[in-house]
Amino acid sequence: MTLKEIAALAGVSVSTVSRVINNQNTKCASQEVQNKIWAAVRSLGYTPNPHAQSLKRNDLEKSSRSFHSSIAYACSGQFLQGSHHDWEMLSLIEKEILSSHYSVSAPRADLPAAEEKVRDLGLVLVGTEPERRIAQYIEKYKNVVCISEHRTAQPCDLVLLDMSKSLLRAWEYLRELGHRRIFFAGAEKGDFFRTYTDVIPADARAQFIPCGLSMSDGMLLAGELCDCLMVPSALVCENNSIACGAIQALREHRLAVPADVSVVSLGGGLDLSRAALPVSVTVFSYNKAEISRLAVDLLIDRIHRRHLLAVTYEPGCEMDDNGSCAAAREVI
Amino acid sequence: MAFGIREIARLAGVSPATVSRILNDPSYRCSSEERRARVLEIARANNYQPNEDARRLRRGGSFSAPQKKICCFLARTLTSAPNGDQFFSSLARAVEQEAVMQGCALGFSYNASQTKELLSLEPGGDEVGLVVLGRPEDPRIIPELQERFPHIVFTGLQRFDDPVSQVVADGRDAAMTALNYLFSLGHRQIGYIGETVRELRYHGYLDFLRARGLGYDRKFVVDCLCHGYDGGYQAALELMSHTEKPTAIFCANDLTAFGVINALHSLGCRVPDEVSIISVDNVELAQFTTPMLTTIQIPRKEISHFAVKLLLDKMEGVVAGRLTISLPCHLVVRNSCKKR
Repeated sequence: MTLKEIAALAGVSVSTVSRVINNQNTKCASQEVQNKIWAAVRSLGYTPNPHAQSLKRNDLEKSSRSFHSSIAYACSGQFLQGSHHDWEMLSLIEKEILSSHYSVSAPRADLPAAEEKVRDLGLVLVGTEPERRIAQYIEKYKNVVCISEHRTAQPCDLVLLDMSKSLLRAWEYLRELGHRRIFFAGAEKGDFFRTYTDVIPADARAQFIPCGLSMSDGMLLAGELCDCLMVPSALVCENNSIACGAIQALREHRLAVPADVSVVSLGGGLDLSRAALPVSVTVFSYNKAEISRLAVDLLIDRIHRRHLLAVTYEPGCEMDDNGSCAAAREVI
Repeated sequence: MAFGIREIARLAGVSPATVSRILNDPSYRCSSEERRARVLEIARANNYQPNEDARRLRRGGSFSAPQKKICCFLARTLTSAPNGDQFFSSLARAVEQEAVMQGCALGFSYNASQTKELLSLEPGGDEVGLVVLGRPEDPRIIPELQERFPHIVFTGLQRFDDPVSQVVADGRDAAMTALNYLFSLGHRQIGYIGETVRELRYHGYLDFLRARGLGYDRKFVVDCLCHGYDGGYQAALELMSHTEKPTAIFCANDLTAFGVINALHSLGCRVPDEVSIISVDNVELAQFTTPMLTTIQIPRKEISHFAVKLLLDKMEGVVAGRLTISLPCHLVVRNSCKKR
């Protein structure tokens, strides 16, 4: 199956066929001829010879890789404070870069110095950064993909981790299970609170309780709710640390999780897979492996000049069921 | 710069054919041992790697042809009428091109009038991927399509609220960008020429008027039955027949704008001095009109690139969950708009 057969069927030359197939806005053939060519392509089941194609394109992947083919990753200052993402994401990104046959530059937490020459082909930037800094990264690295909860106006690709999606999903899931008194625990200023006010419908029985981001803060919060006899039927926590602390305290107050109270988290904070915890929590968040794979894949696509516009990937969020969530005790 | 046989030949002072024989043909007896040693030394010193593609191509023989098929469903296009909206047909063409470039075969290409045939096909297996172009008139067929074709990606100018994988360029956003540009040039009386029934760009126009506190004037809106040159021409004549005229017109697509511009010229109305024109699409011809058309670029090539890429990733099991890919539309400023 070659271009020759298509050309014969369509009644044109091989070069015309090649131009039409590979170049969209071609004036070399009339609409009628183009239609004939595509009809021939379809009926003959033509697929291009991959060797001929990559030879023509002089693919970066196939040619000998020089030692200048490295990809870097960096994380924002906010990320380092560990409020939402965790270290697992960084190691997944590194693995993904390596399995795509690129070498990885040492990770950095700051911009390269003005005089420093950057040899990496691109950069994965994790966490939220101010616009100005993103612009500086783009100037240095040219090809940048951000993994962030916020959109940016900068000309870089983005894998958007939209908190409103995961929060809404958690809320709807709990409502389906019959929960009506649902409380939200998290930092009083920040994305979690903002998303809560934007996304959760005004409901007298939904409440936001400000809380610190650590496990002991979660324990304190749950303890206070128990003492004030204000225990909700479900608790949505900004991160795993708060959730685990809350579950611990609830159990100490002789309340069963999830039988009496359901607790969920939006991920981040404590690494549930690592720590030897007596409790675990159901998480509504993004699949970290998928995020890192999407980000690196998008960056490589850009490095190979297969796209130039700023693209945004919006993955769907998933539920990691660890048994801390169940149907409401009674429908209030 | 890849280091190949030609480079060795140049450095050794021999022809590429000779180098090839020295490196690949064990029975070749080179006329000069010194020449042979030199070629081998150069190859070694430069870490020469034979180009696998060139080798396989030369050796011939069949490669295992991938069986993946990409099919298209133009959910909003009723026929392939030449005067109709070209957008989705050109997008379908871009998708097919992208599919072939990424090594797939092409399957069927159905339009909205063939919905019944589409839904009565055998359910697609793992080797069939479907790209849906535009939002289907009846949203109930979306879950049906998903059931029949497990590998499916939706594309268009409007986000699907349904739980689907999609590649979208925001059409409403495109309209807002165009209208905000006119606003920034000082225009306050802005007309609209294009479809108004279930049309994103028209809704964008209405939202824009509301957001900017501009009143809606029935005289400034002319519904042309389909986006096209003739429709635009007639609509412009009608629009300019009123005593109160807009200072700028937002046309739903370039083809319509061409008709509008010519109608205005025939009325002796100067563009952009008297009336500014802006539209959406950025077809090739937009650069060749007088004046050159200011328009919004819809990234057709990128939509097709990512739609096919996503579909292939799904078929290969690389992407499991639902993914929304969104692309930006941007303003291409040419000469058809002027400050008020």
